[in-house]
Amino acid sequence: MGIDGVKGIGDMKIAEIRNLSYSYRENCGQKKAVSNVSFDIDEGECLGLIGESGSGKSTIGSLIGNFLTGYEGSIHLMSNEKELADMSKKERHDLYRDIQVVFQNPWQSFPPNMCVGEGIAEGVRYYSRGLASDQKKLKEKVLETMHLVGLSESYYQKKCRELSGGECQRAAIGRAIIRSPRLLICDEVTSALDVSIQAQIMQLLFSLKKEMGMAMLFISHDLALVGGICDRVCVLHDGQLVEELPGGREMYEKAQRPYTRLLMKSVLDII
Amino acid sequence: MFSVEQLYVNYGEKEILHDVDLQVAQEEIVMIVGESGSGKSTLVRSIMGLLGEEGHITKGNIVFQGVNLCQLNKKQYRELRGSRIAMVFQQPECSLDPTQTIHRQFYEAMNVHRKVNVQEAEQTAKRLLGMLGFREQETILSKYPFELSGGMAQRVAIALAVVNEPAFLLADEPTSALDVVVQKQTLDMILDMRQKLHMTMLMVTHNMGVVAYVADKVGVMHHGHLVEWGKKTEILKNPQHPYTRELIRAIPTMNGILPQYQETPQMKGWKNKVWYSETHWALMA
Repeated sequence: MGIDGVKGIGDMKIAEIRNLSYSYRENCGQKKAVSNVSFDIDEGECLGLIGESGSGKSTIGSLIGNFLTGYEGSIHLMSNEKELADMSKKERHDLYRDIQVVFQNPWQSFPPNMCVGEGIAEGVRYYSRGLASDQKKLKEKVLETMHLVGLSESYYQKKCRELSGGECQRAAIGRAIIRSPRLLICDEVTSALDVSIQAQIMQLLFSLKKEMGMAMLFISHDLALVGGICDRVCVLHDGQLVEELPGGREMYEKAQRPYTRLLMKSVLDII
Repeated sequence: MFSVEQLYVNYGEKEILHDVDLQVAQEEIVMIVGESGSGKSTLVRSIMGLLGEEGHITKGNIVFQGVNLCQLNKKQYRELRGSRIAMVFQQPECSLDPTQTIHRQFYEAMNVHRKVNVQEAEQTAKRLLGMLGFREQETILSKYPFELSGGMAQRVAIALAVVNEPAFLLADEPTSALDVVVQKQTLDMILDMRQKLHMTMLMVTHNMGVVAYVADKVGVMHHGHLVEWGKKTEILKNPQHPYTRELIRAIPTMNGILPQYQETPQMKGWKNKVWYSETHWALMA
């Protein structure tokens, strides 16, 4: 492995989060968003983070994605012995080759003046200069990725504002997976989309996860949605981890805590 | 009580709605489902007379309590809006004035249509907010919209919409900006309010789960056509149109299976046919 201090793949922990706390500064005092949360993500595993608005799930995503600093507790990524906050800029740059994020609003995550192909190529440009300098190879790689996320070649020259929500989200997923990351953070990736498009994106993520064997941190407020894709689900309430459940059907049978039950009751099932 | 007859709507040159027909009876909740771009919001906007500069009704009628809305002038429409027909939008922030307290907004909304004093407005506002599940109505009234959470703001927007006790309430995706917990609460409030205020409602959504929870009748829209229309139970249990079937498969459920959706060629071929459920034919006969 290229990164220092990394163990072999077999006993790999993608993320080890211990006693994580984070507060946002407000005009008078501080507001605690995450308090004392601990969990692991294993290699190739999909972990769901569930909770309503304000429960701290996106904050955890941002902390792991290194968009926020100044937390308490520890974050160890890719079995690295060094804690995330202690790393040098170079070490962090190397580490985040393997971690990518997809956001809720697909249009906001693409520069409006760039065409889809260039936008997806951005995923490579920052990390693999070798590939990025070879225009022909780069285009091949981008087209291959576009095919993987279900976009035809005709989308290459389109601007992101010309795309529908589902298409643009596919492109955003394409940019995230182009370097085959080992951890993909999906922060409410389908909440801005219609149910029909949501179903298609979920199918896409599921097949990508299977094909590429990457680990996923799937953040959502919809309990029904995570059951199908996640191996394990953590339920968050007011910044605290209230319950850890297995994925799939078992999730609904094993839920004990009243808050998880409330979340389940809120799912509008068709009779 | 309310009907849309063979409605065609254009935006500029482009035809958005094609031949839409529907009837809504007193105190009924009708829901229109369909994906983005299927024309469901255009339908609601044309009922409210809010199509804007570009949009216009090319053919058909919209009849509300015996009055053809397409023939009203601007002034008549304005009198109707907010008093007898009201609307709730998807984003609560857009329908609330950020520079005024909630109290002031209630007073203004009432004062436009009839003379009221401040106390009277406050009483009505408190009663409605209580109905929508707010316990500390006094504090809510003194707040500005940005001090409220998304769910609270949407409930305030609903209370504001019904302040003049309209007979007909339109809602465009009233719960899709909310998370699942708040969505359920808001829908419960809407059901409760229908009983207390005897309102008829037409709501637009893309979520079949919401339909299953509150609707009496359902219309399914696809590419500007109303492709299926009937009672909720009939449509959910026995969908006829391939698009409706796929839409039902796409709903995330509690059985731990991923939702599915596949666009099939049949959907396009069938788009000119409307599938009316059996009850519809029984009523028409």
